[in-house]
Amino acid sequence: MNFLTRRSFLHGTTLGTGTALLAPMLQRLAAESAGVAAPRRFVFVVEGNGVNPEQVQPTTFPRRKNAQNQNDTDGLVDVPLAGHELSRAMEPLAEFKDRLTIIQGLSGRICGGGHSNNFGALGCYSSKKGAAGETIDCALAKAVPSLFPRVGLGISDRAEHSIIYNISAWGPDKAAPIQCRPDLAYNELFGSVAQGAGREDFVARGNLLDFMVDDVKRVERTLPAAERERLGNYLGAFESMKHRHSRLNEIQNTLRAKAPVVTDKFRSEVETDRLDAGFDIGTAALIGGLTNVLVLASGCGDPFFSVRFHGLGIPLDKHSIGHGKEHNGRPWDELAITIRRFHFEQMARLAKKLQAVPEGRGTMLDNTVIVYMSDAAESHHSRCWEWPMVVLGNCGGRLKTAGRFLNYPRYGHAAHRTTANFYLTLLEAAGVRRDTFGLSDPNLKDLKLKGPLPELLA
Amino acid sequence: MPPAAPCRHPKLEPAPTAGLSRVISHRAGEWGRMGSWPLPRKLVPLIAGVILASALSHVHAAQPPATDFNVAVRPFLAQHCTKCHGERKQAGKLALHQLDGSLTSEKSRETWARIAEKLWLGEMPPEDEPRPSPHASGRVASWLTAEFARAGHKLTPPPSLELPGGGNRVSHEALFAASTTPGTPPPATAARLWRVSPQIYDELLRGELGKNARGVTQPFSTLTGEGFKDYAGAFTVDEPTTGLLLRNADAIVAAQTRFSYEAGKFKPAGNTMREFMALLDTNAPPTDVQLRAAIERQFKLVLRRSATAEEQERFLSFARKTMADAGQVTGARTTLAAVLLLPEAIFRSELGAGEPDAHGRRMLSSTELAAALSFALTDRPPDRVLQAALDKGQFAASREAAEREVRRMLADDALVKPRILRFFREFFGYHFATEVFKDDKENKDHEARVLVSDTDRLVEFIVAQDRDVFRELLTTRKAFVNFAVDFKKKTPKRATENKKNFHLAYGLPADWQWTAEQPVELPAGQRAGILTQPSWLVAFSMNFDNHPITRGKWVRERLLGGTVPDLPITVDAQLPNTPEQTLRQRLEVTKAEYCWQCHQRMNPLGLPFEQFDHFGRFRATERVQDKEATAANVDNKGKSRGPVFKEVSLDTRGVVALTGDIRLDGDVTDPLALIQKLAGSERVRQVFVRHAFRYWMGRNETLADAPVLKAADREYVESGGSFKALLVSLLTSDAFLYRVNPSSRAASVSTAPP
Repeated sequence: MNFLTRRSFLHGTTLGTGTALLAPMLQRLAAESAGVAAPRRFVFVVEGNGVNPEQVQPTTFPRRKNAQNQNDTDGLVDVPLAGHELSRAMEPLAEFKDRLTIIQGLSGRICGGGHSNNFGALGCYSSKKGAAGETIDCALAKAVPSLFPRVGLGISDRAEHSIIYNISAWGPDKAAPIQCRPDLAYNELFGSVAQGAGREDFVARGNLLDFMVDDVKRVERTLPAAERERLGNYLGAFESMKHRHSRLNEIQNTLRAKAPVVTDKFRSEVETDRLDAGFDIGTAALIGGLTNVLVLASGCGDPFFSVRFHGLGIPLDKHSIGHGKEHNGRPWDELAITIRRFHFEQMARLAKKLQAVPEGRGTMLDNTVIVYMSDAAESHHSRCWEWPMVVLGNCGGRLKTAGRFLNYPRYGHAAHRTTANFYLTLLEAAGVRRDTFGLSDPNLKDLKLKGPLPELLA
Repeated sequence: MPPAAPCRHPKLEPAPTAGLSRVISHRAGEWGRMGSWPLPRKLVPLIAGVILASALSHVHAAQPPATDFNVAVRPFLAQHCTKCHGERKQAGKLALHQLDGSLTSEKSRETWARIAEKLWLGEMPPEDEPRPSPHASGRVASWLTAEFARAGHKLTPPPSLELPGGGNRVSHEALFAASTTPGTPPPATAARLWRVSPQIYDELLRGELGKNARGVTQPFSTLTGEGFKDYAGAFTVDEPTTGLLLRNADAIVAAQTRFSYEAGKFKPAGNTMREFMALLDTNAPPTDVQLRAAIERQFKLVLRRSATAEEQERFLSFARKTMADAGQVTGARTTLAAVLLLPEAIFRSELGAGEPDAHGRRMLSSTELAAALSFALTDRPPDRVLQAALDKGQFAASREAAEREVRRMLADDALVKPRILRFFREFFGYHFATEVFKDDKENKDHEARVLVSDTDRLVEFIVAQDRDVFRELLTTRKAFVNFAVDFKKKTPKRATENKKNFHLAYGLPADWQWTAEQPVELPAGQRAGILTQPSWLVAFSMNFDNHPITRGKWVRERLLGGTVPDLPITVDAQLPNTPEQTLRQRLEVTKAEYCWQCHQRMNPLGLPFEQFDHFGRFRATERVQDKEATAANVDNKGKSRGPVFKEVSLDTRGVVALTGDIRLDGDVTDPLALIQKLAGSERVRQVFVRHAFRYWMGRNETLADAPVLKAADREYVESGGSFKALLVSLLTSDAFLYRVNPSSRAASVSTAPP
């Protein structure tokens, strides 16, 4: 029997088949039995203000560093995590230790550093150039298409920011948003099953798209043939959005089952609540099959990074913490670790939810990779000599991430590698082979820096 | 190791893979030889190319298949192609003798697209073979067009022809010939929509419309790389852009319609307009009159015109429906957002109006012309004076009205005209200095941002003088050094306080004291104009070295009006890793026959600039690694203590060749001699005029534009090199004022006698 994949199933519903909705779980099983690979999913948890390498280093494996506190490893270190203890910040991920790889020592000097590397962090280019090129999340989104090619959620330092553009881009000057208002994000993704204002927004958006399609067509008819095509793309964009909007209407039953519960957290003044809600919505979007690429950005981008984590009892802003200030006798690093720990707790929660959803012979988590990193590399005033990454999941067996600690050698060493190599590894896992990503570091021109990290590829 | 390609020159990277109708690859030889064609021979393929281009570019005009393959195409191939691409010989691994006229397979379409492109560009047959007549080429074009359409595919011109880099493919000699080529139609621009530029969008938001709007971001991009950024034909609006426009519209309208309830009582926010306030109080739903007033207000804000009666009805009914479906406030906001998304708000319309003339041309409507003139000089819609004239019906489109307005705007110093400086930036490309990464360990005094703003000030200074502008830009010894104007006090100040020895980039003595009296004279015998400004030299440099290739390419394209093909995709361009050699010596590898076909057009023009180091500093000698001393520089354990350098003599010689103007060709000893030679050339001046044409028309020139270019050049010369005179000429030309439906133009060109 020919089962449906979820994607073809979702597509099928838009064709007005009127078929009773199968549970997503059944579809996943169907996909597997039909020999169709489950979608690959990529999640980025990006925390502002840098990841101090010490805070993710296994406590039982001391970091090798020089007098400037920089990575001073001589050659690639590749040891199993088993037998080593996770840092205090990373403890929430303990139960996933056998699916986890901690990567130290990748550099990203081309970004330039600072409080944030902005778009450059995920794009491998200068932090000062705005959206100068495609970022890795968007590159992956093109490789693993879905109804919403990429979903970006997060928080900024100011509660009134509803949407910010600072770390993701589809290409030069094509910034992709980070939605900072959970309620608006919910409406966009789950508006077809929303209540009250959310439902109103969803309906109004549908009307607007209909109106625009009609209007652009009307203008198109008045144009000479050559210019019709120019307007045609604009029309196509509205038609495509309208199509997506219709599909959200048609998969209401699925969405109703998978949509997160709307709570007070959606409009909370407390940052941790809004971030919490963002994780809930993003996870639901993955499980509901709305997207395969999720970015969760916590206080990323200059100048939106100085978040106060009141919800963790830390009224001090992250900028001050970065400058070594203490609060109530708690030193800066303890505050930073507490905040980082919260992010790892969220990441673990997300992983657990995916793990609870069967897919093929395993679970959704098996086909997912979650990357934790900062847009500011290794410190509050980052210089991008090294860029710690924590990687959870193997993306359907395409990555070798089962309990490893990888430390690349110091900057300039022949075996040194950059964040671009890591991103190329993710692209390879998504089925895209490329030699380079973003701009290469001219100071490393003597190194062989093309392609992915072979030691991380299955 | 070879120098890394600089971060910003995409053309040094392998070209993207060819699509169906894209160039598959350039054979260097075809281009290398073009420059030496005698004039009459050169004209023939170009004219044929123009006709072919016109015929091919309007597939949608659904021309009937006028030509039979066996009658017109097979003999053409036999006569012009199969000698080299046939049974006995397959030059470029291409055999055409077995082509049967079927376009059903992808492979056959690829082959035919390749043939079309070569004919299109006038690249084939080679110059030493008989030329096809324009009539014969036209028949092949007509057949190709029809057959591609029949196969369900569209044959489009190679993008490079329509983009800024492709303009030089039109013969300079033909454009500036004393008589016009017979059959050439009078100048006009194709009726078009021109997506608003990022700067226009910014300005729109800076006004009343964007007040208090949060979370609004720039939705539009420009062309990347150096060169002109805003060509009318270069942009459409895709889905990510539309997504941004939609979110921006939401954010703008949210700021326009702020309100709250205090103790159950509706309270508008301070700056919410009266017309919008009336839509928001749910205790008092708006009447039709109020809705109409709000729609009218939004039209005025966004489109600067009233809504027509038909638009009023459509928007009113949309508002009523959405308010019923989604609630009063959401419905009202959505209605206002829709105005921001109308095609008219996203695209500038230049379609022409009124009755067409004998050549099918229609002048821009009064509204279109007013906008076109305003956007030519500023990033804003018509200023108050012009808008008032327009509103009162006192501005009716005509050449005289256009001239009056251009002169008025140029004379109005209070009117900010950023488009003029932007032209010079995009023409010279010096602003890319900030894009080239330099290691600050090598030169602590380097501050690219200030180098660029210094050159901006110099350009503004020379343009304000308005005498012999282009020659001055190329030859002046004056410079602004670390110069800025205090925004509040309006007085001169240092642009950077941190770089104490910043002025060394200009060759000024170490003890030079900053002065507010600028421009200053730079040391004699060192500098001549923009091409010796540190900003330009850095912009065309690599991370750790000069870049004679891109400098030469710039001179070839921007001053000589020549062409250099893109790097063939098969070439992995690397210089030898020999730090003991000068850059000139390392570039010797490009003299291999295959490389030199292209590099002869660049390197000899770029090498004179070896007079400067890669930070733009004048130098008398060049620094290379001392191989022996480096080998000996080891500690007592034999470990290297790093490289040792030595100074060697500098070679700044260059050659101007293959220009098509024998008065220009010849050897030069150094950059100043090169620049003097170029600055004195009529051809170079005309090439500059061609570039001004492209920037202000938003497209490349065609042979039909010859009269416009000649008139602009004449005005410029006769006015003593007034840039304003050049601008007036261009902005009152037929090319600027008239629009024509491309399909009617194609017919008129292709039916012209050969």
